[in-house]
Amino acid sequence: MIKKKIDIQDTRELIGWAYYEMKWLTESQAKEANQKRNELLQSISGRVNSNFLGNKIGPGELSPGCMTCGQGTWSCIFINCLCTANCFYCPQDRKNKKDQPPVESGLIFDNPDDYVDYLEKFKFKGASFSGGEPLLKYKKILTYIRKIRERLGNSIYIWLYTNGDLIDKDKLDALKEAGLNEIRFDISARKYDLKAIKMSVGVIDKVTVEIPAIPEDYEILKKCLSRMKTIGVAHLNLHQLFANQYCYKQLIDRRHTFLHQPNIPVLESEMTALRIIKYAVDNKIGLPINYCCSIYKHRFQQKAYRERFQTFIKERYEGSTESGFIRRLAIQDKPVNIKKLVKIFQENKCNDKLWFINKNCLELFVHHALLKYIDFNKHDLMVIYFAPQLSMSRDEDDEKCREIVLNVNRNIFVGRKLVFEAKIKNASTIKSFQKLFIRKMNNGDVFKKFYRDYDLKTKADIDRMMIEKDRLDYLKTWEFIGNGLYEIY
Amino acid sequence: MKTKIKLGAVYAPSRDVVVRKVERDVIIIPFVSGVDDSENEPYFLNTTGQVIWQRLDGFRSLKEIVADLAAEFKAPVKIIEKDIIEFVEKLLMRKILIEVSGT
Repeated sequence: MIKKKIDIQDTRELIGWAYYEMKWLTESQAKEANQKRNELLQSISGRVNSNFLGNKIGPGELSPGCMTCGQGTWSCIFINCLCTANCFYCPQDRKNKKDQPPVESGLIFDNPDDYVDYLEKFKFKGASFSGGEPLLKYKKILTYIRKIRERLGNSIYIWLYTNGDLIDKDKLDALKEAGLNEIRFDISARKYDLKAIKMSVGVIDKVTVEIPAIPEDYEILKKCLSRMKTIGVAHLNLHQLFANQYCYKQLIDRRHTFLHQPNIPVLESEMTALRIIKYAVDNKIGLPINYCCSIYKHRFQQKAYRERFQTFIKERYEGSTESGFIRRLAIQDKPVNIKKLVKIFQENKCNDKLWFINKNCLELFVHHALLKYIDFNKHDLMVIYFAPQLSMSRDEDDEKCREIVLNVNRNIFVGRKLVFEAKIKNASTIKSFQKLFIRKMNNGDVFKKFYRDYDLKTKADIDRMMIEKDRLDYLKTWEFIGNGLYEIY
Repeated sequence: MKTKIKLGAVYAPSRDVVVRKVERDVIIIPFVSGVDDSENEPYFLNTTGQVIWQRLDGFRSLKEIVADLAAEFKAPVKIIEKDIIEFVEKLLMRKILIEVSGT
């Protein structure tokens, strides 16, 4: 319950006044939409693959590039920001007429060698070029691809996104020769024209169609499926439309319904993707389709980012969650009580790297292995989650910011930002926290015991118990990745 | 959607609930997450509910429970039957009760 409320509140805060211009579901509409989606999922069940904890659904295999994304080893460099098209769903600022240097995760890489050092340092297995329209910087891309191949050989899979406006045979030959493995076309930018695809098949090893699932284009896309298969398209990737400051107005104009989820996706886009998949499997089209939903990106791409960089900043007394956040556990108390706890650790010969007393001695950070020495009838437990944050320069306010050297001329910095903190007050709730998130015991078993053992003397205790249960449930947001498609509301 | 209640059927508490007594109340707490969060809200049993709940033991049919209560409370069978059916319907919807056998 609390998660829904927080999602709705977060969405409202993020969007501000525009929230009231946008179409959202009522409770009963949401219930109906969940039911409709379940029926669609049931109708394709057993005929599609479910990858990455049910976050990716579709018939056939995933592209090797998409596999690197799910496995957390994909880097995407935005080589420029200018474009030849003007798609209504584009999440980039189309008023921007000034180009930008190549950017990956907020870091500028205008030197291809620095980018390859970055790929090497963090052991990426997939690299893609996006934009804007990347082929506006065709020569630059060739330089980057050649450099990657020259230094990393075939250990890395390389692909390129394009709308196809600037493609020609010479460019394709040169991209192939440089070492490009896959080219992905957004055919929705060119009214589903397949000419550029025809030209690419047989030149580039894999030719993929990657488009948003646009509800208004359902019929035209449906008709394209067989032709795509015949021409030799290797994969169809369908994205879920989502809103940001640059495209929400166009989505409102199209009367789309928005969902209270991270990235504010469009309901009808998800339904369209699932209907296309159903059509493809019902009619045995044989084209591998990957529905890349908004929640998949939020869960897996961000997890990959966090896991990649948290190892540089996580302290020994901190833990990491399944979804890649750094988890810090803290006891806040008077210095005298903090010192008593430390004494207990010392008496038990605990490794002194597993705890840390902050400057004013009012807070003790402890590794989860030491929780067994703490009497939680006397202490509350603070749970604090951090995410790593990359930057080009050192954040002077973050004393834990670390420098990572890419080469003699280039370094990057990893800092941290606090994402959530909660105080757990009750001993049985703290016990349940440990069972759920440290020992990873079965959710049902943990809550069964929690409800059985919670000290209930008065009716007010019931409310308290439910609040604490909700709080534990909400911590799953930071602890676990999340299975399947997101609940619709 | 309402489930059709059969008087000859036997119902029992689901394994996915915890029952606690607080002061004079009995609360039932389901702990399996469904699509609808309201399914996880605690369910409070009033005095009548408690009397029926005690008898939903997975052995007695609703018909037997109706007869038992009619005799104990000297109330018309039709009224007790109506109350029990309404009560069982609600608990089935919340997945607090399960049917263990039906005729």
